[in-house]
Amino acid sequence: MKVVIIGNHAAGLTAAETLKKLDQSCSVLVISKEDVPPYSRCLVADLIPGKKKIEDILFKDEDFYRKNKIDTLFGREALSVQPDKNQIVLDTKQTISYDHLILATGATPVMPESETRQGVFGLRTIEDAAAIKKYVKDKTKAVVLGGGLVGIKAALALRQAGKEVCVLVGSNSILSQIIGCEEAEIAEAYLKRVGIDFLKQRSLKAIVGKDKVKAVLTEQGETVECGLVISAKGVAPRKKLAEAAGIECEYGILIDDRCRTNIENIYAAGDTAQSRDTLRKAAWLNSIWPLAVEEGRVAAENILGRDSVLRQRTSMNSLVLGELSLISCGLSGLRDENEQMEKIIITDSPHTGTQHMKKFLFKDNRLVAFSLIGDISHAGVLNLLLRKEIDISAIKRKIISGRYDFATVLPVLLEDRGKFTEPEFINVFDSLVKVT
Amino acid sequence: MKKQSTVRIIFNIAKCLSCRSCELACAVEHSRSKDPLKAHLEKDTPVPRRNISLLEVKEKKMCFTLTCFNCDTPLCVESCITGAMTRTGEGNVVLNTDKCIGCGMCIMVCPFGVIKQQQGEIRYMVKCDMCPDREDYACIAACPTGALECKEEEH
Repeated sequence: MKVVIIGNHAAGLTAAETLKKLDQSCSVLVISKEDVPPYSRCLVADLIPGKKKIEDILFKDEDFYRKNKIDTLFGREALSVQPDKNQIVLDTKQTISYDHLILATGATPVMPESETRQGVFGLRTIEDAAAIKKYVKDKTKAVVLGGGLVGIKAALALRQAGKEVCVLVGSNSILSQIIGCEEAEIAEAYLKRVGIDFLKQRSLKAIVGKDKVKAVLTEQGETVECGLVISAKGVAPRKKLAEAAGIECEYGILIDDRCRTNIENIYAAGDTAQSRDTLRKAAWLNSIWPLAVEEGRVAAENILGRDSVLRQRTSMNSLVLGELSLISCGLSGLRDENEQMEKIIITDSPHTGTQHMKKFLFKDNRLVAFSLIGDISHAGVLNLLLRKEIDISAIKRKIISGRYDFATVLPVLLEDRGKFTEPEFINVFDSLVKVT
Repeated sequence: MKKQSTVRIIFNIAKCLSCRSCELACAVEHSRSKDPLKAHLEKDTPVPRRNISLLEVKEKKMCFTLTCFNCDTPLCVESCITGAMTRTGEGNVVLNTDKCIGCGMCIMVCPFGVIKQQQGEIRYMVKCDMCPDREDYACIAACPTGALECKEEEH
């Protein structure tokens, strides 16, 4: 059997690894436009201040492909997929046939339209980070467009590189896709402390400069001088290849719980794929690492005839703010909150003076979102309640006290044990049955 | 030769006294001095990879000790953005602390809450590592009632 994978990151790499792990005889070819060793996209910002080098952000060993007998075609781009012929056509006009195809084509940063000036960058690849690092050397000021996770990471990286940084945020609150305004206040206070400026409720009017970026104009009338602009206004799934081949797409390539597209032997995984979000009850673009990896694995397992299904899933994000960890999960974004949800926030300012926070959102006796700043221990227990949509009425008091662990939630899991098929849980439940 | 096969530490809830000996032994084992009298004075207080907590099911109170189950399809491995958390061929989930950046994704997904944060200048995560520095397991050796025992799993 021959499986062709387009894409060489979280999803594509995991798919290739899973296929080879489960079936040595399966021929696996990975095609990627990038000709680089397997690195982690989440860490590319750290290359800018030189905090990390390429070898520090490798997700797998450099000889991963050779060791796993995975064939590669790097520096090549697939131009079209021909599902009727089970083949793809490369930019070299070469055709490659497949029995199964996995589209893990990822996403590209959204850039300001028709911008040709030097000094405007996206931040997603090693190449982007290297270009920024080189370009920013003799510049003193940078503007980041967008106050999302990529924007904040870019701003932190530029600040660490000793640059003055101003972040243009569309909404009233930073990281609004992943946290509410209460958490954002703490995050923003930290970022301001390290010297990052924010202009909120601003939108970009124009980038100015003759050939090179000189400044950014906002619709609100300000001129922000800068030598460099990083566009972090989100990413767009790379779905053109799929669309042209008649594969069903919405915001991304639509996949079912087994990562199948509407074409039988074509699967999609990762940031390019749009899959069901358990809490939102809709096909959603959750462009995050863990879900991309899972999709890669599930696609591979199904190709090998194992009936593998995606777990209950929703959005999850983390950000390290100096000594503070910030994580959020579920319907935790600013716009996700609504009146039907009950919001409970506990805060404390321990001896360090930094603010810690736990925020919970409940709806219909279910936990639908949480954000933790500072103490993030046992967060996975909350995540479990959320993903499995467990009725938490019996233990809600303990959760909102901020003191919870697996033993706290175990009684309610037992009430709902039909939702658990994982052997680890079955073992725990069985051991308890004997003594109760 | 404990590394060659898949070893699981099994907990028998009926025998647990909640004495926390396992927790203490685990913290000491992962300290620099490996001495119970000195370990708590070390700069970055060693974190136990195993915890005892109180459990109440049907009005019956019990004690419960937990450490990594080495899940078949570990969420922590799938969530690790650096490649620090991996699952070995023997089925053990291992964490390379040199690669770990302390982002907390693994803590956010571990349903059992058994991944901990090591506080200190450099922050990273820690979890049960099956005591690589000793022939047996610190928690099992410390348990006075035999509530913890090890079992070799056949593949």
